[in-house]
Amino acid sequence: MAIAQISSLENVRSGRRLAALLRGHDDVGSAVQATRATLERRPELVGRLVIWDVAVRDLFEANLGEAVVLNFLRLSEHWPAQHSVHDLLAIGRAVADIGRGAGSRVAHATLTELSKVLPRLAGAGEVTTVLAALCQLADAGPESVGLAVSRLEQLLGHAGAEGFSAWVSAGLRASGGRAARRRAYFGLEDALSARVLALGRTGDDFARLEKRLAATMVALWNRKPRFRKLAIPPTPVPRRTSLAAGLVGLPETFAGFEGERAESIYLAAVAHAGAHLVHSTVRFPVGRLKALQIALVSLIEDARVETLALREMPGLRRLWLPFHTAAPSGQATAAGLMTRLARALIDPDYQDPDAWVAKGRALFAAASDRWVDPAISREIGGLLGNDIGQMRLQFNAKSYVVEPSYRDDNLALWDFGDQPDAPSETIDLAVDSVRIERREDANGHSTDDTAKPDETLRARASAVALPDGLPVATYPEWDYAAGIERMDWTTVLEADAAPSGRALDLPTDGDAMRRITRLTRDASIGRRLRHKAQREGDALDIDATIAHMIARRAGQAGEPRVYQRDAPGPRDLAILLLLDLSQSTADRDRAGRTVLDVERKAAAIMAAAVETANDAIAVHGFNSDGRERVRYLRIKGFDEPMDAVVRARFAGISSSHSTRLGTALRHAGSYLGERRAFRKVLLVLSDGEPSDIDAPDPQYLTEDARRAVQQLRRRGIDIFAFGIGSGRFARLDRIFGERRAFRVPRIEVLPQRVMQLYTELKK
Amino acid sequence: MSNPGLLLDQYRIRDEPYYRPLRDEVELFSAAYASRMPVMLKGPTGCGKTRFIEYMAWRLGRPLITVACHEDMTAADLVGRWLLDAQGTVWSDGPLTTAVRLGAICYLDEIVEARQDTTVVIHPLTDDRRVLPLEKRGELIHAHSDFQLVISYNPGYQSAIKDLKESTKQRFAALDFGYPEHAVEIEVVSREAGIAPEIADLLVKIAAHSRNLKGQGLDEGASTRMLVNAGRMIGYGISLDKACETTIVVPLTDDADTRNTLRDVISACA
Repeated sequence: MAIAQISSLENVRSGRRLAALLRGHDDVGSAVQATRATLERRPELVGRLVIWDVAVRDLFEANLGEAVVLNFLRLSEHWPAQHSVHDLLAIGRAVADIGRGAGSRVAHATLTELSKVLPRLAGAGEVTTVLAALCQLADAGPESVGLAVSRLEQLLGHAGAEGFSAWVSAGLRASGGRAARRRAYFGLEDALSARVLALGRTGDDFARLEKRLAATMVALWNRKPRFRKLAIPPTPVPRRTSLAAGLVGLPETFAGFEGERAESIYLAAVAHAGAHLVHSTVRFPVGRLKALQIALVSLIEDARVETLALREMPGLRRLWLPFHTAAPSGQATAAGLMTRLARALIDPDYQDPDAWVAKGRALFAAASDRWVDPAISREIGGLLGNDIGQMRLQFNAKSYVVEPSYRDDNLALWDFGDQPDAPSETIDLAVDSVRIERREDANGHSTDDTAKPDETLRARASAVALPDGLPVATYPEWDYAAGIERMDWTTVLEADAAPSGRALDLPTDGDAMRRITRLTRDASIGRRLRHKAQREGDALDIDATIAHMIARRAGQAGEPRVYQRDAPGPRDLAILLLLDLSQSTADRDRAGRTVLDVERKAAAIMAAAVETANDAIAVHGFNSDGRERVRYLRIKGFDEPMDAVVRARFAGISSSHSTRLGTALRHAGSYLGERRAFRKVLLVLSDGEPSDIDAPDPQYLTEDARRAVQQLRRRGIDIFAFGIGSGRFARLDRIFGERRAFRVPRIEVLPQRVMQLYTELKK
Repeated sequence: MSNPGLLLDQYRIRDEPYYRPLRDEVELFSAAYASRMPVMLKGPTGCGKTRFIEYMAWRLGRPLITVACHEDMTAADLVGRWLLDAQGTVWSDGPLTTAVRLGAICYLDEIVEARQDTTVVIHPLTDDRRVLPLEKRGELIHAHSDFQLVISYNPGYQSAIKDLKESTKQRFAALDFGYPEHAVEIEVVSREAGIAPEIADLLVKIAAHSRNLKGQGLDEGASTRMLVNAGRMIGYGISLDKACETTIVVPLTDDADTRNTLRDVISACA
């Protein structure tokens, strides 16, 4: 009782203080009092009004105009009972903060939008998460708060509170402190922005399951087809799996299958596709077959390959059967009967009164000794097709779709030949054509990019004239002819690399990736430490032995810690990958890949692998345009994770200008010099020829780079070079030394080179 | 220690170990032993290398001293070291030295796990010198006429860091082991685990599918040893699913996707 009285006393006093503050602002003052009176009647607010007063006062003192305060009062009055009052107070504080940074209009808009999205933010801490993200944005990019707030409802609906928060912080990092880029990002004009936002959603099922599906295909069938995502067409016909030329196309989602059910339908689809890959050994010529016959032959073939698969792996029946839901129904249609037949052929317990279905079943069972022969599908399908014709059942080729939904469209079973007079019906059935999304192929090699002619790439590179960055350092350069070091000869301009709209996809299960990851993790490259005075060890520790013997003779019973042993110390490694981004890296090899492509991929794989091993790795790039303009781009900092932003930066790097290697090495060395690590490694990925517009003598920059390497080695930095591309790289040996210059003609060679690198590191 | 015969007796294999020859490895090994040629057994883990050498030791009537190599193993762990007792320092022979002195087969299991500088101590033993220098003791041991060195080596672990030196490799005759053929593996699994051939058949099928995943998420597929383990669990009345989960899926990988794939395989085969 006493406590209640004290708190109500506090409450009255606080109310008076607030009223005093608002004296002279009668409109606001009376509105505040009115709201306060309303709030006093709400039980959950008793005892909280003092804090509410503080929030109102803060908001008032932030001087954002009366409209903001009135808006907050409105929000308070309509505050939903199921939301925590703390959230209301947090909103007050946050809006005051945002207003200070971004102005009163934005503060007002923030309040209005927040009140709209409140119902969405029902989870614990969600309001706080959103507010924190907004405050972070107001702090680092006040001009963009308005943009984000105006779409708040849409953004939260799309990504949820956590996703929103991730999107904001990614945007701030990706825009590298530039307001124009921030505005593009938060105005959703930037492709990266949309992508990061999309990651916040559950993501398409295909992307989520792809790795597992590929593994299941290998495990069950020992086949390694490539998987493709099929975009869902805007037609009402549902998308089916599609097999073609070693590719398995899977829809990005199966409509109506979510969560666990999505998992099982993809698995069922992959198991079925695998059965085709193994057992559908011949393609049937289409000839003059009608669409109905094609569909029926395909249906029997489906049943045939599944039956063969079940002989080997009977458990697959549990996977497939749940999708067979057809049951006898009143109105018999061709498509309906076919679905029932599909079930009858694989579900032994299924009862169907229909004579046609029974006939199909009997024909199929009678052929049991010839199940391995695809020709039976053609025979049985043909017979059944004639029957349907005689039953005068309608078959609409345009709306027909293979059922159940895990089965593929069966186009791969047919050889359409190039018959100009193929019946139009057939074509209709085939119209469900494979529209394959452009995506990275198995080598992670973008099909989009290779399709573009060189010129476009170059034009684009020069059009997006590199933001030069800030001059951060000058370095000396070695003139081998004169034998002098020219002080402050070159200038480094540094910036964060500009992210592209599309993050680089890492091949997570690629063989190279996997091997490098394991190698990096297992490599013991820390220094070996000698442990003295141990209980056990390889050799006697003489000092400890003598001390121990003396102690014993003196009658003391000491512990016999008299051995010593060597053991590897803790891993302590910092790697800086330096990428050559000069124009020559845009050259293509025979496979049409540019050196830059290979560099980019190699760097991304290494960075991901080294990160997995918990070592620090940074990725920087450089090119140059004369000694005053050595551009140095930070793609990944030592402390940045390989997230969407970094991968977008990877995707965004392009080739231009020249290679002033020595200066870039010195600058990279200064980064490593600051790191505290036992082992510091600078790894250069280059096509190997230092050059610049103001250095006509090719040997000049080579010698300078060699000197830079030697200087850094003396400072305890290990330097290695990967010569990327098929060149001979005579200069690379001169600059880095033969044992420390490795050739990577193709990305597949990379694991071997990384092995060599680690072997050298161990020495 | 004082009685070499007693010391050696503990390493003798008394009962015949079960071994099902796959090809002609028994004859080949016997021939190699006749000239005391060092032998290297290659093959994936759990395919029967260790069982084979036990069987051969029993067949040839030689004691077998096995050393499981690990990456912190040093030359002293093989050769021996000085220890301290009340009187002062005493020398204690390592397992390799014991085998060399007394004439046993010394089997270094998974030799690549040991550091390269450790493995070079076997060099003088594996050419026609057949000696073991004990530097720390100032002694040169001439190998007993019955002594033979056998190492095992799993090429699956191969990398620049864990590979045998060329100079080590070339001293050995090598027998290549693999997983047995389907029918033979069924025989082995049902015999070792004491289960019906039908269940063994199922397990061997599962293993064959899991071996497809080598390099696709798994470093190795399920080994014969794993199948025997799974079979033994089934023999105790554990259900197939649970037995496979415990002895195959969980031990093989920590990757959630790969585990799910293995579960898919098991449910597809069962």
